[in-house]
Amino acid sequence: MPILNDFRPVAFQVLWFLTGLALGCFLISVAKTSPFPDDPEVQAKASRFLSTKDQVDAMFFGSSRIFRGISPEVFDDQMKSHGRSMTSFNFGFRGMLAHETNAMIETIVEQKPERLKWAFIELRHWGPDLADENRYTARSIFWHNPQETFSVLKSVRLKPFPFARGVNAKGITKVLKTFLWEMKKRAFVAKLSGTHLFHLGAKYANVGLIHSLFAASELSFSEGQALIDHQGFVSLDTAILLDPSYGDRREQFQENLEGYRRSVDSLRKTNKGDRTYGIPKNYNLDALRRQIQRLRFAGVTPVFVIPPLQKPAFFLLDLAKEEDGTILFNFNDPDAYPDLYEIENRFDADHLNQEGAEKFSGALADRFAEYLSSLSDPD
Amino acid sequence: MLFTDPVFLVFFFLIFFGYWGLRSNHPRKVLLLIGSYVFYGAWDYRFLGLIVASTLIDFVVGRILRFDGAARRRRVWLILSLVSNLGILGFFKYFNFFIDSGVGLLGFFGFEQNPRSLSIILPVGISFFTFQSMSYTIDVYRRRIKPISSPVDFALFVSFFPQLVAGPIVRASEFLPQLTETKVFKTVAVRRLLLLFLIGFIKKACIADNLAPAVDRVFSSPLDFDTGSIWVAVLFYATQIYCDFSGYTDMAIATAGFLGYELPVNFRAPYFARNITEFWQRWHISLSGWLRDYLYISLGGNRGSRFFVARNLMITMLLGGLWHGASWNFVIWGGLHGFALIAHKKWLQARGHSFARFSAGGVRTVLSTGLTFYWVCICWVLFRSESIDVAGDLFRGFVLFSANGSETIGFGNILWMIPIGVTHWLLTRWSPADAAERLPGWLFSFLYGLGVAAVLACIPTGTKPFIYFQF
Repeated sequence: MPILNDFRPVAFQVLWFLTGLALGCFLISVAKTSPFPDDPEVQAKASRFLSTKDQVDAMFFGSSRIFRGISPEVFDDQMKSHGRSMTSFNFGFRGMLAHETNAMIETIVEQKPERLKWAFIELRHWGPDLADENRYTARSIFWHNPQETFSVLKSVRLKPFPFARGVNAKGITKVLKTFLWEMKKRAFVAKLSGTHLFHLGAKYANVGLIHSLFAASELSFSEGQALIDHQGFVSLDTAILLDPSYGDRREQFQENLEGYRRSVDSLRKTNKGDRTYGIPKNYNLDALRRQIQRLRFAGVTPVFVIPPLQKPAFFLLDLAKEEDGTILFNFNDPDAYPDLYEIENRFDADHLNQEGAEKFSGALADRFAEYLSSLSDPD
Repeated sequence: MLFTDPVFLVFFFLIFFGYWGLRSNHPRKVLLLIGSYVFYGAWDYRFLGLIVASTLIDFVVGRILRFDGAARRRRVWLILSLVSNLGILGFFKYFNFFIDSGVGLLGFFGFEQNPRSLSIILPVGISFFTFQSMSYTIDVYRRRIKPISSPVDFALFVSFFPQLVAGPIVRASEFLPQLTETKVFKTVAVRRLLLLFLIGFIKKACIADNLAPAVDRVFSSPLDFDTGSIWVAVLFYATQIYCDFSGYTDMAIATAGFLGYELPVNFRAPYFARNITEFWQRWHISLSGWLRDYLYISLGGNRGSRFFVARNLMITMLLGGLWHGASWNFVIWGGLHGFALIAHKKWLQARGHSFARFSAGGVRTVLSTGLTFYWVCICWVLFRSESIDVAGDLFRGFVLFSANGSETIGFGNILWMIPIGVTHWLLTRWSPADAAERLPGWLFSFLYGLGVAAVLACIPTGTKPFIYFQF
């Protein structure tokens, strides 16, 4: 067949294909206009941040607990009342993973914001899991730079295998079960690693770069202006007005208040116990150190925050303890911060409402002002 | 596992190299069968039992029909096969629909009922493989084909992964003979298939998936939008569903082609049809052909009085609509197409024109093509809407031009239809594969690499399943 004749040698053709692909990807990447992922929420916050980047002193990074929980306006006012003038910006996003936070901070630092001195970061585990709905999204592709991808690949090998081994079997059954278990394990590791490697590939292939081709992104996003107006913060009380689907979460919470109270009581008791996780997994520690070093190198001091959760955070506390000089503000304590656990201050079991967010922001500012005073106080 | 999913790429490479690495035909078919079951099981392995059950029933009935010559007993075996297949389909796809409709009807007459509805998951592609499997038994019963003796061949016919979940619906007479030949890689038209796959990928990932957000937004709350936005959304949906489905078909044909198999053409530029009859000769050809051969003709087809022909046409289209999904919207969608087909038949009879004579002439062609497309879009409104009420809200904008919502998605977006339409028209007149074959090998590979880079940048992030998977 003449068509196939010029497909030999195949390697030669593959090389030409890869050359075209690489050249195409390079040319397209040159046309990239924003360093941030093409996600409507990120773009709205990034556009506001980039227009005022040289006025920002502090930024908040983390998941929806930070995004929906810290109002920069309240934080700034409270800092002012302590005699410290600051401008802050909330750069938290729904479901933001620790690796994503790293990549986001990296991009922020690359913009060289003149006054940025403090980065408030929600302390979270570093791990390889990606929820199905977050696979191949603009955000998950964005954070898969080589550094984060290789770090996450390391964590894949250390992740506990989520299937039972079945050691009770005997003889040939045991051999067979062990063989199947090993196969399953390898398939599991290969699949998870492959997913992350494909993300890395997708990043350099510019996947999703022209997503807004049909003006799709702004069509599906109604919170944009509110995020711009409030320094990256929109409480869930406001979000529900723009997107009624948030109502389900609140309803579920209201229907199970007793369950919520029980978990807060349990947290209260557990927090008083002397439980420890010991030395956290090395990759978590490596990732934390890398994050701290990178920020310090850029002249930014990281301040870690554990927001008011419903479950104990010993692992995170131990993690922070491992690294000398880590600044950590732990709000995961119903005794120390009872307001933040009051039902009238919660939107749902995991998130604060507008009032709760204002209280959390005020409390964070108080802790931070206290910390700054301790720096200037020689005692 | 979607064709646009990176995991599919890994899966296909494994199958491709494993398949061509084997020398004889039988192990290759076994590999394809295992691969097909893995492909289907990746969605939900529990439903593999359904494919196996459907395969076993029709294989066994086929074998029995071979040896049983008695007409009455043959009919009984055929009915057994049909009842089993349609029973599986009916339970998984239509059980709740019929219960809810029955309760609604009883409620209408004042008998309030509160039956339990079951939470049944719809197995992906069930309508496709059930129809395919059934067609074999009917063809054997009608003595159009000889029953097959190899269970592996038959199982592969039912579950061949490139077309398993969204067609094209392949006839046994088209596919089974292909299983007897040992494929030779030299006969695979690599360039043609690479281009076909890329074109399918562009249709699905770059066009359909990028249009989806605008369509979803307007169809979810049409009362919020103005007439212009509704027009844009409906035209976008017409483009989305065509690109989504024909894109899948292109990729399916290309994937099968890389393994040496030929699947039938499923689309022939349907939006350039000059009348509704022609539209159905160009849209989802494998389904319309199936409905014609196994339902319309079984009902009597064109035989009998005009009333009976119209009745047969309407029943076929109503059931064709129901095939798409368990909802009255689909039934009405089928009914509207049935009505248009009957009207077109009547019109041709009344005018005494032959189809060919009518279709001649430039202005007439443009007008009739536009009118046909407009009617098809009206039908798409029902097809896509979540309820008949929502469809009614959309008709206010699309048919009556009187939608007065305050939101807009920008009427200017309608301009996207021009490059899409022109490219589509050009592709009906010019074959990129023919041009590609004339290029030197290195240049083709280099340009293909550039093309893939451009396509990757245009695809939206996130995974979006094919629309026809739900059917």
